[in-house]
Amino acid sequence: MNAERSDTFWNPYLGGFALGLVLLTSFLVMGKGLGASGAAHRVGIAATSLVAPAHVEANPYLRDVRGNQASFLDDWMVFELVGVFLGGLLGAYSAGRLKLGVIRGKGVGIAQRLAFAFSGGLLMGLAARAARGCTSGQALTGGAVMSVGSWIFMLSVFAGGYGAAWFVRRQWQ
Amino acid sequence: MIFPFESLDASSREVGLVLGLVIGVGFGFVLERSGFGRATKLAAQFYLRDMTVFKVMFTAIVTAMLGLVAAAGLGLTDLRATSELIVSWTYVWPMLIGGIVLGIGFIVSGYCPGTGLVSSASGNIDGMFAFGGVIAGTVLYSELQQIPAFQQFHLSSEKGAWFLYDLVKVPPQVLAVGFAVMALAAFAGAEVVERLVNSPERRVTVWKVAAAAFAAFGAVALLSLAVPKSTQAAPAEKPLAIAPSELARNVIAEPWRWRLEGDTAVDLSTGRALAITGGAAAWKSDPLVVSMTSGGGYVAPAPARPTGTFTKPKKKGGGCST
Repeated sequence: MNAERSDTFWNPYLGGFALGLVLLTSFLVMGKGLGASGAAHRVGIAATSLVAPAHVEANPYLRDVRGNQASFLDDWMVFELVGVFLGGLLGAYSAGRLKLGVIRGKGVGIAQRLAFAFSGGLLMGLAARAARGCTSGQALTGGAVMSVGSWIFMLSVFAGGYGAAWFVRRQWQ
Repeated sequence: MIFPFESLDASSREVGLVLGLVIGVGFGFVLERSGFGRATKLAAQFYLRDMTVFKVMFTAIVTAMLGLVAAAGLGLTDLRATSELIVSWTYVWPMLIGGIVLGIGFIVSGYCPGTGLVSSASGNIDGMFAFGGVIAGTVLYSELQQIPAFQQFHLSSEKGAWFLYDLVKVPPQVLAVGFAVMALAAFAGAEVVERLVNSPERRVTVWKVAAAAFAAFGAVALLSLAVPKSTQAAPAEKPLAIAPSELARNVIAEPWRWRLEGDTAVDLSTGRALAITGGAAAWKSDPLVVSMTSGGGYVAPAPARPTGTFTKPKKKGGGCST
């Protein structure tokens, strides 16, 4: 549907500039930044409360996330995250790369790749709660407003990534 | 001050939520088109083969930073108040350790939380597993918070709303331009690194480039040691010593203002500790003090100690004026 090849991406500086404009719009219009992990937390709690509502009510760190809304999902960040999903879908579809599959290096099989993806995700979920945000909410958003903690976080992310890269290099060969 | 529109978080909340959806679509679309839905492309950043993550991220940061500072300069928004709305407080240790763990999770999974979702949206099952892991991790963290020691770590080293322009004592406008200049230099470096790592005729092994980068980062890190030192030393530049006789006169004049703690006297009106010249011994042998305490005509009143410990007032966040 689009002449663009599926391996073609935007020039990184152009992409970064566009991302910066989206971020700036969010700052000025909403007084909020972009994020992903906060909404993921809410989705996780909402799912948990479907299965075990009593468990959620017994833990104040889960229960109180709801604030004064009726649902854990009634929050700006959740709407923003739904938008991220739709935007990703739109971007992939219009570029002709909307396709079910598993992205992996030659060094790993599918099962191992998925195990790596999940366990890495688990680590990131834990880390994002400790840091009050992830690469979107702290590094990108907080970095742009020059928050000290966000810059500590951002440098630590790169340190952690480069430090661990050697150990998982076969996955990405 | 026009921005942000506070009603979008209050009376017109529904409009704000729809705008959130729209902003999210923009975010997701740009991430996907920049190639952030692909684990192999993101992971290549950590092997220096493809610096797209770095380039996109820093271009975005500098763009939004300059835009926000410019908007504040035009009087459209209040930089500090808006920044305090946007970002969380600083918690040094949780953010440092959280950053390292997130970096490890990034290279293991091939995504960060947001890009994991974008990858899921483009049909990648590995992205779905990564984002599923993120969801599970955030809930697991809330379970761990029920352990008191863990919660203590979670709340440790809180610095309130803290910005780099507070730390280095440079106007935010100057700092933002400084970041822009640094970013341009770093982009030039990133292009060189990509060319060296990927060019077949000049096979520079990755570790050599990595070693050079680490040396450069290390040098910057060592240099930056001087920065927090100089700012932390700033309050200490003022003379922090007081002569026993001067202190004695002060104590007689305003006994409620002083609390003596061994070799130091705490000025309760400023919260500043002053070292007594010569220490506690000199204080006790000062003629005025001797006359005060030796049952002479003047008896020092019992120090009016405020109960509890004196803590410096801390600036709390939340510049919301609604």
